Amino acid sequence: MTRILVLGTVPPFGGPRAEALRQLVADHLAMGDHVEIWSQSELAAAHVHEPRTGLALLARLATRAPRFDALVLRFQPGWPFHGEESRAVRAAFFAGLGVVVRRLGDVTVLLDSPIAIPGGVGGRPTRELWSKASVVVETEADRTELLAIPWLDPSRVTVSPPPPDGRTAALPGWPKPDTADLRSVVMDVVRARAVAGRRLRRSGEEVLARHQPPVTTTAGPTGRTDLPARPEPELSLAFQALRAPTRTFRRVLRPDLATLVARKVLRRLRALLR
Amino acid sequence: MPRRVAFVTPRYGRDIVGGSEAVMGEAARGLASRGMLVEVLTTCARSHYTWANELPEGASEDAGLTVRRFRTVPAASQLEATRLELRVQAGDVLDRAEELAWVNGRLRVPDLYQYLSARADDFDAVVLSPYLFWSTIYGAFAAPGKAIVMPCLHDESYAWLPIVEATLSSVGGIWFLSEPEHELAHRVAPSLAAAHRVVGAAVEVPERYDPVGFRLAHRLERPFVLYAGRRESGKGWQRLLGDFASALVHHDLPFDLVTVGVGAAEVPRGLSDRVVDLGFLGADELPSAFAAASALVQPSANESFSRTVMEAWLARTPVLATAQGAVVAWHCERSGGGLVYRDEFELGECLAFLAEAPESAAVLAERGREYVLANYTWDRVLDAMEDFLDAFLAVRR
Repeated sequence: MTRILVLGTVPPFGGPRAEALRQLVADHLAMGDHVEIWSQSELAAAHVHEPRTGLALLARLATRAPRFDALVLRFQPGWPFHGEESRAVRAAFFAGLGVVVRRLGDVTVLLDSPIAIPGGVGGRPTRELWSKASVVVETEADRTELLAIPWLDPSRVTVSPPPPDGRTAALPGWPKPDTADLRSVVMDVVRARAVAGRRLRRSGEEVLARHQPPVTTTAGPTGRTDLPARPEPELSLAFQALRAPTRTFRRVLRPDLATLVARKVLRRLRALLR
Repeated sequence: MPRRVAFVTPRYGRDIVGGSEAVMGEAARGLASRGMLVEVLTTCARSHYTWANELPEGASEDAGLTVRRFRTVPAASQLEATRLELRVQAGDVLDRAEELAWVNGRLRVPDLYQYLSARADDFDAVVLSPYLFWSTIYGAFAAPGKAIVMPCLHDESYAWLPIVEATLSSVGGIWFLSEPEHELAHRVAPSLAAAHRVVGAAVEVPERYDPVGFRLAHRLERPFVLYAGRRESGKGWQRLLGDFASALVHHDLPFDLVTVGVGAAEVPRGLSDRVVDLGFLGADELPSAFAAASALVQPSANESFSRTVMEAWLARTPVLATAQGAVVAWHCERSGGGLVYRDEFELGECLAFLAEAPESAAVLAERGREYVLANYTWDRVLDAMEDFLDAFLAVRR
């Protein structure tokens, strides 16, 4: 059994790329793997909705990734970069990500086209990532761009076009400009296509209701209980034991001092447990 | 002898954002240009949120007419005014005294009432608008036989107050801006004043548009749809933000949403990279904003005419409007030039239509332009107003 962490938007919304990621997850589940999904979109049927980007996301990833054997990371518009990070932040992100992936067995990077990495794909901080990852791109042009990176093994880069959007293909097309009673025809098409959208949302909600994925709206601990527990039970217990008296102390006496003392005790405990 | 007409409006000025205020101002100037002696009686307020006296009191000249400004007086108790406002919005039934207290809770202009009472005989007609303000309801009391109300009526909780029914039943005449507004008035006031007519409203045809310059000036690199007007929940702005966000989730849309107007845009953080707030634009820039847009979105159900829709069509820009707005849906249907949406899914598909079939969208916009030019130019509207005044004064003699 492989434990896989997947970062990227999954259905019911998000179009064909989300659907492709769902298929990848389904394939892994069929093989008996454990999969945990993080998505930025609050509408995605993911285990964790993770709105953070950049270094904040990296910090979260660094603490959680050691519990997994493999990572699938989709670079999509707005995530993991919101697009306005400085060059230094992007470099720090890639350097940190390199450290994270070093400890994982398998890393797959999916790159939307055009590649959603602001400022370019190369640079020394990306060395660890591209040396280790298998990369899936959508076009030959993207593959050519990637192969300019000296430490990327060309055999690890594959081209896989996104699947066509089946929903759109099945819907009525827009009328030509010379269509008689153009407005009425456009309105008919708008309403027919909207029905399909509403149906899709209903089916998505039904799926969500049926499976009840343990979704958290903010980045918190994952709801999955079938994965190995965090290997620090003593520390968690110690923290819980400390919490109640600390609160009382904080209310009655000096709150700042109480916080400082509690933190100090926790640090000591953590050091001892290590 | 030239006719003497007073226009009573709570705000007046070329930088005032508001459909009723704009129509009143342009109609007043238009009739003055046709030789009538026109006075505008208004307040010193610029903001319809605070009603603070920002402009100087007294008379001044503007484009051949006299503008007489009077000071507003705040409500005795803001707390009580707010309480009544919430009750009205909730559709609560108020007794007569409470209704009058509600009318007095927004703004009062006692000097305007005194002036109109004393000088009513100096005017052949007194035109008042819109229906839910102190200046209209009390002004109609001051000159009942001569009062012509241009209500700008919407199907909202205020419209169903008995005091509105009483006003629309007792005034001398009524000007409507559209047929759906006329039909609504018959439902609101079954004994509607006998002298009434759909005179319509109009928009100025700009001399030129500069969409490229507008995009450059505001650094708008991506295609955009435009919302122009007050950013208020009553105008559908918050709903539009939600629907637009939903459309972005469901469709790969190239459009940003650009908004111009007054009021806090309050864009949610998650949408901030797709919504651009340009604030208030002057009359010289606004036509180019319409021309540069891929479409105008009109999310407001509370429209009695919708100038922005007409201005967009004039600029050959398609219109997407909420189906909940009876008036704009009527314009869209009648012109064959606008699309309506009932929810976020239909808005998303309308936007997809703009993106995927721009040639067909351009044909719709052209039909909208033809509709405006055929029905809503000032020459036509002023003719209708003058015809009404002729008949109105003939009956009174």
